[in-house]
Amino acid sequence: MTRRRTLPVGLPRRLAVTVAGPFVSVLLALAVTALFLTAGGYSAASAFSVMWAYGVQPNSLVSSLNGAVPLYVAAVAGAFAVRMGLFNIGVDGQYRMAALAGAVAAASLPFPLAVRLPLTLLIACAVGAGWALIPALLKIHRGVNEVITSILLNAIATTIVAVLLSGVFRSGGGQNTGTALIDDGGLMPALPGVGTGQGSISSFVVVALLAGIVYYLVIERSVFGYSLRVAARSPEAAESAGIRVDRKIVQAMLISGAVAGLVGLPHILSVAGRFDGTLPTDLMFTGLAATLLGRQHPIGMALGAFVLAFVERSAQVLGLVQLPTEVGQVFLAVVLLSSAVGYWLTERADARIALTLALRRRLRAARDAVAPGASSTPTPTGGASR
Amino acid sequence: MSLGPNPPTTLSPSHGAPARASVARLRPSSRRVRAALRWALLGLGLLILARYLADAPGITASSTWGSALRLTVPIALVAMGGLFSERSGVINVGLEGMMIGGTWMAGLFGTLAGPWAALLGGVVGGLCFGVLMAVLCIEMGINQLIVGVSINVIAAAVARFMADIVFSQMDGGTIARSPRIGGDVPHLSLPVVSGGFGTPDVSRVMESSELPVVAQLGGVLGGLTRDVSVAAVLGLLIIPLVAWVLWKTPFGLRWRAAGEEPAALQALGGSVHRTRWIAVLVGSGLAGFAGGYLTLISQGYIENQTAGRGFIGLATLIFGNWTPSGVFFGASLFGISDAVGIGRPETLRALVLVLAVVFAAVGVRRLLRGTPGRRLRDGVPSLVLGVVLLAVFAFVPLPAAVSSATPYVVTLAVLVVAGTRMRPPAALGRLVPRRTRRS
Repeated sequence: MTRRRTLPVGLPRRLAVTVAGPFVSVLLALAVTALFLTAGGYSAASAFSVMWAYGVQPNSLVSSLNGAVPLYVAAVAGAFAVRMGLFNIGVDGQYRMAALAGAVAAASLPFPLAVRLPLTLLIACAVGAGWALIPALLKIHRGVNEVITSILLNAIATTIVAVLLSGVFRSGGGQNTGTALIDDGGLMPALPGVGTGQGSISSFVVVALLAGIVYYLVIERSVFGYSLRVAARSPEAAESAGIRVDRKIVQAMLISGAVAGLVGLPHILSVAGRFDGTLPTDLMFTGLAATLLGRQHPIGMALGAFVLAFVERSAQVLGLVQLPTEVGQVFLAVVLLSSAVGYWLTERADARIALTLALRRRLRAARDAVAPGASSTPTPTGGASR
Repeated sequence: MSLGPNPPTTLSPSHGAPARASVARLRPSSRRVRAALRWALLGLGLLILARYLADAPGITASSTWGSALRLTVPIALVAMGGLFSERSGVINVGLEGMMIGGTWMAGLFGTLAGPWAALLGGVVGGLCFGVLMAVLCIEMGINQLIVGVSINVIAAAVARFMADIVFSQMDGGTIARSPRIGGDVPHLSLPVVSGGFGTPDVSRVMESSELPVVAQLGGVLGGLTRDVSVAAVLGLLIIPLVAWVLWKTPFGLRWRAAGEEPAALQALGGSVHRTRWIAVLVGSGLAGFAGGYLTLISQGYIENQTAGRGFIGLATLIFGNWTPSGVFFGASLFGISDAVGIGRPETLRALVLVLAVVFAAVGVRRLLRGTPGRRLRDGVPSLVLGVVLLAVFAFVPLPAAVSSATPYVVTLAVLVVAGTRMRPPAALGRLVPRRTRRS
């Protein structure tokens, strides 16, 4: 990071900086949203208070948690690629292809839940990884930028899903535009012992948790993750150290795609019970916001995903009190940017503080050198920072 | 008609050689004119062949080529916008957002003050986000990919929010669309060729004559020249203008330097920051103009009417190797395949045939005369793709539903064949601090 290694940094300050980043980001986003509300002639304060009151109800919190799961998974998928220096903008296409495959598998596999569910997840992962393999292979063999192939493949995935849905997997005729309904033997069960109906938490929370843990272990604690990060920082250095960058690109995209394959499943297996037009289409960008908000840190991304899901949920109430529900969308969009700006601000402030402290210490040292007998009492700041 | 007799120079400049070789490119030497003519004739020959082999009159109909032109212009414009900022070293993923800003503002200006104001409004809408991008990317040095992606999302959300506030209150407007823009900018036709200014319409006569070759030539010519909106003409004129500025003017030199080697520009006394500011602002204005053009076509702002064109523009930009001519080629390829895709299925088959022949020919040519040592690697994918497409043409009935993916698949296929020859500006995405940092 930009922080100088020579400056001693106390744990409290490091903690403060870590917390301040997302905090400032959310505050900034709130401010900008308030600006828009005021410009539109609405009262921002009343809107926020209504949202907060609705958002902290137990049912809303549960719903936010369930909503945060796909966002977190999308964030992890994005983070895998970002750590390899790739920009997986193809998460969109990957999760839609995988969601269709998962819905079909869950509805048609003739096994009990204990076998069918893991198989469904595996199939979705495989489809997502397969779809992500195309840009990776094109990048290393034909030198085509992965961003543009991913964008094109997203559009192509839309068509493929539409064609498959209408031509092959549609159940029944007439107005029915979804795959066959998945019976109880294929749906993701609710977490046992935590409420029922509206208040139940989907077991996908566990899946998301596992994804986060795997992400942490692979990226931060394994040789593979280390070589991935080296390859991202300096391909030349990596090559000369014997790391095959081409291979790392393919592997990173495969993992990213496999995780992305899980993004659509919470909706399929816990909400809709089949693949149809209700699958949300903005999961990638909101997930990306969570990646940025949490700085690719497994816990940070989880908090980010929850904040975003919380806002999404609590904005729904605004329609009841004659306020535009688009406020939530604006907030989600702005938070994407303000997360970058917020980190920029806190890092600069941190650097400033470090500089001031260092200068003050230097001055004091100079003073001490001039008058050695005058002061030998260590100041509290000097002690803390050492 | 084979690709054999053409000297290699006719192919390579449009793909490979970047900044250095291209100063001479704008000077139309007689050899280049001849080469262009030869390629045009070759293309027309292929089209005529495909028209009869696939029995698809649509591929040479004036309606197809007219809509190809209409679909090409916004892509080319938004890609030019991207070219401006990327040539100066600022990655612009936010083109889609700038375009959305353009459509929204164009809807507002258009309803208030007519079609010309709509075009102006498009530019203004794009500039709003251009300023945001310039401040964040150039002044603050925040990751350009993040800023671009955010701009896309913010533009979509804010456009909807503001439409709820502004357009919903207007007569005839809703949250998803603005009131209709009254009127349109004038449409032009070439005199004599396509009946502009009261002259006889030769191409229409040719097209309805049903004679082989003559009818097809008339169709293509007429489609490209009849009833073209002034906005489209303006948009197309911008492309050579950008090429001239980029390769021939002092600003163009600074512009390229800012993207290739900012340190050199700074050492010679130029200002990287000012150059990048200008480039980003002009680029966002162009992207917004593309949005305004879309709004004019649909006679009002419609939510989501950009439909990912900003991203396609970005793809076209990379596809065109960051050169105006390449971008124009990519945009017209996309526009043509889009126009063919919305037509009848047999037109799509004809396009498949044309592509198959081109790919196969390129593959064979590379196998026989490519760079030694790379012949197999370069030639085989192209040849295989060509053969596969031929097989598709011959045996697979294409369902109508796949046609919406046509432009994307075609662009992807051409990328795969062209591959490996792209070279982005060297300093793309690299931040240049305003002065030596003290902190």
